[in-house]
Amino acid sequence: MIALLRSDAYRVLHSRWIWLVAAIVAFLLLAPALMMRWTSMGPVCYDDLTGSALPMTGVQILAAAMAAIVCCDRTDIGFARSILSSLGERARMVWFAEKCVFSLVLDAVLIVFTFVVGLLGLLASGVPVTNPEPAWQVAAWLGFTWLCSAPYVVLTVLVAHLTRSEGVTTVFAVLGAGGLLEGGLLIGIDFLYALLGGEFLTVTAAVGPWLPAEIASAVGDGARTMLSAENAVQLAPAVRALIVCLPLTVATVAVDALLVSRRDAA
Amino acid sequence: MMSSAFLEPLYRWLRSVAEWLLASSTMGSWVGVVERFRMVEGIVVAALLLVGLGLGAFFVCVCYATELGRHARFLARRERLSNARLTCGSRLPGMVGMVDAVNAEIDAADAERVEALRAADEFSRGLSALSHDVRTPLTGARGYLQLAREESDSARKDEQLAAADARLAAMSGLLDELFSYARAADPDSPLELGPVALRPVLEQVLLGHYPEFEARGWEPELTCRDVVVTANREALSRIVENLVVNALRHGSGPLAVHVHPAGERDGEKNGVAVEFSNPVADPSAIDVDRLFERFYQADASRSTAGSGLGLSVAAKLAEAQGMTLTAHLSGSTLVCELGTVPNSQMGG
Amino acid sequence: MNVIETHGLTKRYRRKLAVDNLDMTVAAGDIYGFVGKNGSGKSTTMKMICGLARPTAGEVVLFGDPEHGGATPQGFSRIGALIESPGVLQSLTARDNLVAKALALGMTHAGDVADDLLGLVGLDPADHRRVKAYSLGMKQRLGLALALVGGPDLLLLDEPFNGLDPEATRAMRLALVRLNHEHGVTIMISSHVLDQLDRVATRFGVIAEGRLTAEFTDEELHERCGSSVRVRLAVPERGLALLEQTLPQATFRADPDGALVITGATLDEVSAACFSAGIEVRELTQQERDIEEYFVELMGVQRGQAPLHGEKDGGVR
Repeated sequence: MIALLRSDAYRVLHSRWIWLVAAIVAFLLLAPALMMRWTSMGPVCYDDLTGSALPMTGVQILAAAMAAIVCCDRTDIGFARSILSSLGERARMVWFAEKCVFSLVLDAVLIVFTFVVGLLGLLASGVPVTNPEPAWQVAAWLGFTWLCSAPYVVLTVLVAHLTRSEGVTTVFAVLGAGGLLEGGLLIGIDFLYALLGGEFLTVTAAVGPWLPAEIASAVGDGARTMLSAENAVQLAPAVRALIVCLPLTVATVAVDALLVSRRDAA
Repeated sequence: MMSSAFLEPLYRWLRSVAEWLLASSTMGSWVGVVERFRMVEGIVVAALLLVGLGLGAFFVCVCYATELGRHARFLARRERLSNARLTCGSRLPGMVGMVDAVNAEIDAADAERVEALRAADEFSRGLSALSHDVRTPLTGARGYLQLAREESDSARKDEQLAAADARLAAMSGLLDELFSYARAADPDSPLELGPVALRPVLEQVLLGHYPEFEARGWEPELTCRDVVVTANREALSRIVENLVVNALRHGSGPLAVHVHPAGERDGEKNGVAVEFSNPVADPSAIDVDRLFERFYQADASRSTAGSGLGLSVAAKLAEAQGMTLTAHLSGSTLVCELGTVPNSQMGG
Repeated sequence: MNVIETHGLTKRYRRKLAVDNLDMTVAAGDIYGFVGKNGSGKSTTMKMICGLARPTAGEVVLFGDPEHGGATPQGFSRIGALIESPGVLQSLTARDNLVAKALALGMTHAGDVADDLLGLVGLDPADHRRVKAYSLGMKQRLGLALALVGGPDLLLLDEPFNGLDPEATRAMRLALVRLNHEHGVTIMISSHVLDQLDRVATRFGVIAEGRLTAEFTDEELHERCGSSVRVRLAVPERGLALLEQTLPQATFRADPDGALVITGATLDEVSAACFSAGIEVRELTQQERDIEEYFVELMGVQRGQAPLHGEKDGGVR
């Protein structure tokens, strides 16, 4: 596993797209900050660190898109075929699992990078923060952001391995991580339920808080909201994340490693 | 600061522990310190850090154990001729060095095997060349003998028997060369070295072949001072003989022999170098790197007389005496250079 | 030891039977020439051997080891494969491709391994162009280098000479022969270009419509191809008549350039017949039947069976 991780890290570091992504993220975070300093547009002060000062929106989609790029080799299965033919039976399962793990690691790196650059941007913008959270809450918040994006990343990898098509995977990455797929699915179920005589939007209301997308947006609202139990379900979003996202991620990795690896690789 | 559900009970437990520790008076002062600096959170963080480190150390140990187990199983199960080598998944300190060392050992054993294979290939190639050179005169001799047996005319019978004899003599000469090569290459019978005057040896060999030079109309040249080298007299004269015969057989012009000091190396005088130069008809056909190989002949169809052994015998004999024998082409002249060992008794 | 042994190997793609009950043996140290038309199941068989595809029925035993299949405890399979198109990362340089694979297999000095292999296949280690810019021949060579990472004991090459110019083909052929001779690498080459295979292969297997129609060694091939004697006589017509009398069992054919081609009689018999009949012989040689013809016959579609459906093997090409 570690050798495979090292190989994928080498591959990613020696390709150009990763640096492009880093540059774009840095630009998107630093440019508004600098503009705020120079033009004094924007807020006078921030309430707290995680809720308003540090933006983590879109990190999910970007992480899923990166996973799609890593796992699709652009020509049906290309390079993977070269490696898989030299790996034994058990090592193949490890290869599939390793792709998921590597995508999660990339996701974590992206989150940390965004956080650091965001902090720099905050310093650069010179906007004060009135009520910053304690360090452990910020750390926990980062961890739960990662946990909430994990299912999307891993599902993207699963889709990449199943369809072996870059187009489909990228579309899934963007739509799925943006929550559109779940939303669309629920609306569809609601519609059917309404047709069958029930109330429209009951299913959405019931299932809503348990959707990963909902949990992700709740976590994204800030560390305090993440940890507080004052919401519709009387359960902190952090706990909901542990209940929903963690098993989902683990199950997807298991499905990928155990079932998809048994499929024909070429 | 908002104490969340997680830290509250931990804090209370730690306080109770602290109160229990208050039984001793030293603890009382410690508790005061702790309370003053609000070290409880610090202690919690330190404890978490220790747990993390402990888990990390455990993980590293497990990695080492699995790697070592895998390596052991690989070495136990591998086939000797397999090309697979040890690999190191996690670059733990010390593992990489060990993997490299084991692979170097396996590679060395493999290289030995490949070397032996190449030598065996070369040997069988040489053997087939030799069998060709032996079979031709042998077949010819047998043919002539069969003809002579059926021949009634006594004059023609004598001719045929003489022809058979000539072929057998050629074959005998070839086998002589082969034996002297084998003897020179034999590590069990080293040559005895002593001081030998160079000039008389060269003169003797050239004089011995003078009729052949005269028949071709070539005047051999010899430039040599009075030098004494450390060598074996027979071996040295054999080397010179083979070089002269080679020049006679394959050269297209007169042979020139120059003796000059070989210059210095590492502050010591190198002895003298004996250069045998003669023009050749087709310099491009000669591969100087292979000139001293067993059975090498510049003519690829092996149609000239000679076995290709003469120069390799000379090279082997030179090596056995500690001398060097090299060749290079300058224009259309082939120059063979024999580097001799200086005679230390004479002081240079 | 048999490096590859297949027992009743079968692969079905939906309704099409790509490989049908294949029983093949490849011994250690062989260079096995796998001959068949396009779409006859060569690539599918090779994919099943190296594990990229799962057989519908039957099994493959590798390295005489049914439980591990020859895989080392570190997880790799001792097989290097170049199947269909060379699987390379287009956006990296050639050296990066090799280093990535070497790292994935856990090799300690990946950079040195990459440089050595690039030298072996004739690519420049200092080339900084991305593989996207390479020609087909260079990609093919890179594919071979990738297959060689990790020191495999079995090489599966699917049409490796595809797209290579004659000099490169010769270089690759010599490299393969040296690998086989010095390092004991068993090589399985599938091709439909027969003269390249003929020069290197020690055994042949012919596949047609997913079935192995013949398997024989190099010597057996030359025996089966048969030979004929070509003779040019001073007086062709009279000579032909005399030979027909002396060699009644042989068949004679007159070539346009005046020589006679005789099948069914050995060179000795023809030469003795000419001598005893007092015919003056100008030229006497032994000729072999065209190997290509023999193979095409073996590869051909047998009568009464449905023709092959196009080129697709399960939708992946």
